[in-house]
Amino acid sequence: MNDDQEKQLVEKILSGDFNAFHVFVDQYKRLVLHITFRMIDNASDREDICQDVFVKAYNNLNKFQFRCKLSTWLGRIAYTTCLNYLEKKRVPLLDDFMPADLTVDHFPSTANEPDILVEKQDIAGLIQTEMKAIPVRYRVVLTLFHLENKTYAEIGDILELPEGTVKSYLFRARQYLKDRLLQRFKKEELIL
Amino acid sequence: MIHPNDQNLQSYLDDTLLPQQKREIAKHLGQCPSCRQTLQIYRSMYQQLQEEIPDQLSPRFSSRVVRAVKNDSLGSVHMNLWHIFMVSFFVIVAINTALKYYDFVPMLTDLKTDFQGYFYGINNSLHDLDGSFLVFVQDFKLIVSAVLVLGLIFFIDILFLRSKHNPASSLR
Repeated sequence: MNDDQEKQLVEKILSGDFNAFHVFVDQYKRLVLHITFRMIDNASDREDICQDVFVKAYNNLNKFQFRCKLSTWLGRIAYTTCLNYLEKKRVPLLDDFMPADLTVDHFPSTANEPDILVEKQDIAGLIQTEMKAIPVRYRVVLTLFHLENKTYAEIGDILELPEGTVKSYLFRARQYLKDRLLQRFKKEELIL
Repeated sequence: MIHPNDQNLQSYLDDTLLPQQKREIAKHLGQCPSCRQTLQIYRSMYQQLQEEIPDQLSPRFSSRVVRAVKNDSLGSVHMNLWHIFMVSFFVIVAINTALKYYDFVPMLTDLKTDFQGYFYGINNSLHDLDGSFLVFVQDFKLIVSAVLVLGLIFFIDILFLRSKHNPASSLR
């Protein structure tokens, strides 16, 4: 959706057109779900949080100044809503990796077992599991970059972090995941 | 031979390196199987990270959100109208009760006497306006009612305009 289309959509919603709001929700629900999925572990709460994000967006749409993309603005609302939820539930955010994270082996290594059949699903499953072990902000950065194809600057806008920090989070999270995969699988098995 | 670090390999895949750096790393990768293997691992991992997440929203999610916003919006407008109605009702009842049980004429006459005592010029003017005072008291009810009705119309108008043009005003 380009800038003009975004403006038209926002104007329609502000004039009371609920069909336009329906289009807005359809357009951006994937983004909101991606952020919510990565931040909230409790599956039963996710859909309610997604709904809350869109209600907040509707509520505040008249304050949107078109200084950034609509998706960036909505992503920020989703991120803040999830952070508030986590704070309310007293879930520790763990802003950074613990030094031990990269050395503690909580998966028994199977790298030396010759008969193991490594499938793509195993690697995907391990990545999904390991994602839950890394701090929330790192997860969101990875998701926005790889699934939503956001730039460093856009991710920085959503998370309200400097671009350099976003880059650093991204590199460290990927390196962590790679090291985790190498603890579990042989190098050759990881090359799909 | 200096091997590129993990950050450089990631940047190479992200295509965020300067052209010169990119050329150097590409050249190194052509000569170093170990770095090529690491790059392949990252490439495989990138593919996995681009896989759609397994969770999905319910098929009627969008409709549910729109319905929630509509209900919230209508509920808020009804609530505001109810508040305005109640306030207006009590104001009208209070004014009518006051006008019915309280005689304003002596109060206005006292006021006139006070003025007579202090300002001779004003005294003359008030004598001229005696008839107007009575008319004013009689018409007072009508004027107050008219102002209240106009005020009510004005607030309802503002409220509907706000609910139509400004989603934020009708919600929370």
